[in-house]
Amino acid sequence: MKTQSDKPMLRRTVRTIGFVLLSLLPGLSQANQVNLNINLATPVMEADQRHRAFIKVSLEGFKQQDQQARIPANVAIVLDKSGSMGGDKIQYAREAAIMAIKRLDERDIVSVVSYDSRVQVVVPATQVRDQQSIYHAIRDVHASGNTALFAGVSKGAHELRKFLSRNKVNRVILLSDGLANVGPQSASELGELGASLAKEGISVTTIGLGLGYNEDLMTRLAGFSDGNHAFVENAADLASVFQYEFGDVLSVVAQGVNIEIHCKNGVTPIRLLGRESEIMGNRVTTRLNQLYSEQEKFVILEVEVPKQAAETELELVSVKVAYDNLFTQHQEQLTGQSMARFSGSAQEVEAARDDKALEAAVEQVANEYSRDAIEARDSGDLAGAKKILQDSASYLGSQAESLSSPRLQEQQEEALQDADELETNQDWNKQRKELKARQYKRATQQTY
Amino acid sequence: MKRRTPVLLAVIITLPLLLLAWFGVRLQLDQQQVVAHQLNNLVTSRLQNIDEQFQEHFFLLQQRFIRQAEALQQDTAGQYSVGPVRRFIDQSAVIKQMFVLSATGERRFPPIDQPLNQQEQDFVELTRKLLREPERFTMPVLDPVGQTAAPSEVKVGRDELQSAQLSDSVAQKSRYSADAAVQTLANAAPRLPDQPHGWIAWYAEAGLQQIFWWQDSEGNTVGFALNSARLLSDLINLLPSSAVANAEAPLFSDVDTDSDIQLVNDRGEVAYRWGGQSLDSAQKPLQTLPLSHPLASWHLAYYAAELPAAITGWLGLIVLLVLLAAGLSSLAYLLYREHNRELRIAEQRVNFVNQVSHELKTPLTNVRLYTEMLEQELPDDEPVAQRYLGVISSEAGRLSRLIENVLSFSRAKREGVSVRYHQGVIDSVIEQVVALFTPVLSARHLSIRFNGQATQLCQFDSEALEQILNNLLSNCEKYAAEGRFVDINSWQAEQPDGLCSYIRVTDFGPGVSVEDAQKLFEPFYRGSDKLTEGVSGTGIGLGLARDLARAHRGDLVLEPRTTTPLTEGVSFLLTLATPVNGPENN
Repeated sequence: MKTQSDKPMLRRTVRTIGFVLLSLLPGLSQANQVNLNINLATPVMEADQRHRAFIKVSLEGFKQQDQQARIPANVAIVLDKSGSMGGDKIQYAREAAIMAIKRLDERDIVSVVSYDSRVQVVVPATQVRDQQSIYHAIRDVHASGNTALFAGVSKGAHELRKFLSRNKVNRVILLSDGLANVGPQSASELGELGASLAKEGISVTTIGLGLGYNEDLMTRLAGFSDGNHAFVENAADLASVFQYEFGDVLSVVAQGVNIEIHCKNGVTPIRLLGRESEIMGNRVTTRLNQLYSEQEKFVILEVEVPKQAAETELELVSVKVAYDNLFTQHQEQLTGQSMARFSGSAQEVEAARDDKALEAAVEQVANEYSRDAIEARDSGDLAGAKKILQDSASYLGSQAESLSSPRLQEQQEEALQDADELETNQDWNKQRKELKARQYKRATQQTY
Repeated sequence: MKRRTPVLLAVIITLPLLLLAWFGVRLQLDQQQVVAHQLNNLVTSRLQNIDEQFQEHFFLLQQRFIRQAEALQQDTAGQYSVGPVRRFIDQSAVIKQMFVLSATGERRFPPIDQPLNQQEQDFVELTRKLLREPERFTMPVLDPVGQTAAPSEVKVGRDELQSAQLSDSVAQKSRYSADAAVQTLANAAPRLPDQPHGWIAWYAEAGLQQIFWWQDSEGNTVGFALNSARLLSDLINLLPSSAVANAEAPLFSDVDTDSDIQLVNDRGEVAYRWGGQSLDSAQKPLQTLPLSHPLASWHLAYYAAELPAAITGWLGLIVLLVLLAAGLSSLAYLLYREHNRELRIAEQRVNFVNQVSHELKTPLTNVRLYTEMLEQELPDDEPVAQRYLGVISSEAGRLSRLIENVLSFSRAKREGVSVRYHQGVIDSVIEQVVALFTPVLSARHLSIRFNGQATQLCQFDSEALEQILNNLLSNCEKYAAEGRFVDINSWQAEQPDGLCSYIRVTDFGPGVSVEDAQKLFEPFYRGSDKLTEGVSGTGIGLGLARDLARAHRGDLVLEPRTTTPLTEGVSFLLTLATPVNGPENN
């Protein structure tokens, strides 16, 4: 961290923090502040050359002071009780939901909606006070019928709205093991719904159970509303996934995070890796619905930097972040910028490299490869998909070596394994779900 | 008689049953129609209610959009600058995109002179044709709260484009609720109806999309394209959820469980369904209701199971009929048993009399035999004894005839009447009978005037003839004693089927009334009380006589009196077929 570019950034950060501190009530500690870090993977670039550069914009939620001071949750659990959930699955799902609700207390609101061909509100939105009656209602859910997923999510969101508040963590947790076959069923329609819900501050976590669900639909719904997504092959693992999910829900410290990046001085944005974003001219915007306690969430922006003379400094981007601090219940703003220096010395370039930022960038780039591989495989191009994965693996391999990063090495092995499994052509359905879930997890820095 | 009774009873049972069944079925069918009609009305109003809810939703959206558009206009000083509009789109959960057209039809948003984001590009691409014809948004508009305003649907250009105000009743209704809810915006409300606005429903991206447009005071047209997934989600949330299928259903008792309602979109897919009835896909909906603009081409379908009420109605009717049938049958059975018992008792009586008669016959024969023997043995110089013997003999003869009658009657009942033909002369038989009766009748101061012209030799049953005459004459003796004379005329005539003999017995007694004449021949019937008072009789004589005559291929009839009105009395005409040659057996 002793690079030259850190200095202005540090200055900037300190200034911002100072500004925020002044604007806040006196006595409020700095610990209740989201941390914004802007890291250029290559802070020193070779002069007289066009560059592709990766900028990592990361946000880290502050530490939740103690369990007592956490943010109340407003959770709707939407359970698939279609015929395919029969037997063990529904039983595990019920118990997982009950186990998860056990972590809530009177501050929280919970509702349970189940759906088959129709939608049933099993537990209307209620404070978690009389837990036994909630458990009792959940245990009465039995499997049968079709899958009205859209209506289920709608009704779940409807229950949330009864107590909707920006000061709560508003989340729909959707469990499904099958294809939506009553009501809208396309990924785009569910994505639209997710986007609309996100605007209200509701995020949807989707848990795909077994091998029957539509992973595109589920990741899309989660992605547009910035919820989590998980692939659970074995129903017995549901309980732990629910526990992770509720852990996330109960550790949210900030919500409604808008990130706006302005490219300056002729720098042009190419793509934002990982998340849905909007690139308009030299302005890139994206949003995160939630920041969790002591968790880092980041986006990687790939930009093209024009030729510069040696020994010049250039401001590449300026970043504005706005979010709702749930702890102080204020909207807060953070700003930052990224500077690059140009040098004729290759050694200097090498020495200045920000390994961590580059590692994250490589991870995301490889993740994009993996997405491309799925697309190729979907269009029937098995060899192409395999090639993409192998390219991705070799890219990861070379980067892992130069960065001596075990994490990238791991990802390389994963990519190779994926390529092999692609070859065997067995159980593509399962592999696709795994890939999708893994990609989603990487892109959103999901903890589980 | 024996067979008629059950038939009669069966008719008595079935007739009311059939009538009741007929009326019951008609009533039930009528009832069903009424119930079906009522149900239909109920369903229609329920579906319409849903449609109204949807309309209200659109109206509330419309209110909101107009306020937001006004706010935007004010904030941007009528310029609709890009930044605020984009921010607005970013924050609004229900809309997907917006557009602003200037009064001259130029596009102000999405901006022409600035880079567009992906969504805006897609939107411009999608609505290119729509926005190229700004006159769509300047069509004459009806005031939504005006009294005369009717829902207007104006088709412009392509068929799939429709723009219309919401139906005014809904608009009016929700206006109040909306105003009550949003008092702070009351200052904006009075200007609402002034500006033209409307909904457009159009097909894009394989679905119906809704756009609300509003013209601001400067002639700019502001359009709000709804997020269709969100719209559907909101509509679903207006609709009830289904009952939880468990025992604790009373919590959700407002959700009815015997029907299934489906919201079907323009592609014919079920977008949402609720209710409790699980049904097979082949079933046809009981009713469908197309939704109003801007959701035209969507519809609601109502499915229901067969009405349980109708079944209980039929069940009731059937139970009623069965009960009635059982009641009537048992009543009929009781009547039938009673009737049978009486018949049996009568039969037992007849049998008893029969047996007694049989028992009497043998001693009586002996009495008559010895009386005759004594008459012959007795010397003529004992007139008193002779006279006594004569009385004994005639009374014994009478008793014997009585017994003969009874036995013949019961035999006739048992095995029918048979006739045995012998050759003879009718008149000689009559003379024998007359001779036999003369002492008896003269004791009653009656004399017989016999005029016999049936002298031809012919075939007939002399015993039957004797018995018939015996009966007729003993009737004269019993009932016509005051007439002093009994006329007997006999003659013979050639008929197409052979020789017939006729015997007319006429008395000059009190006669019989017309009613009595009808029943005179029925067994056990005896004429009016006045007539039969103090006179013994069994009531079987005339019937037996007629049966015998009919067996003899003839008849015995009571002749209507054609003689002078001064003379009363009765005249019987006996007709017998008496063939001349050869015994003909029947």
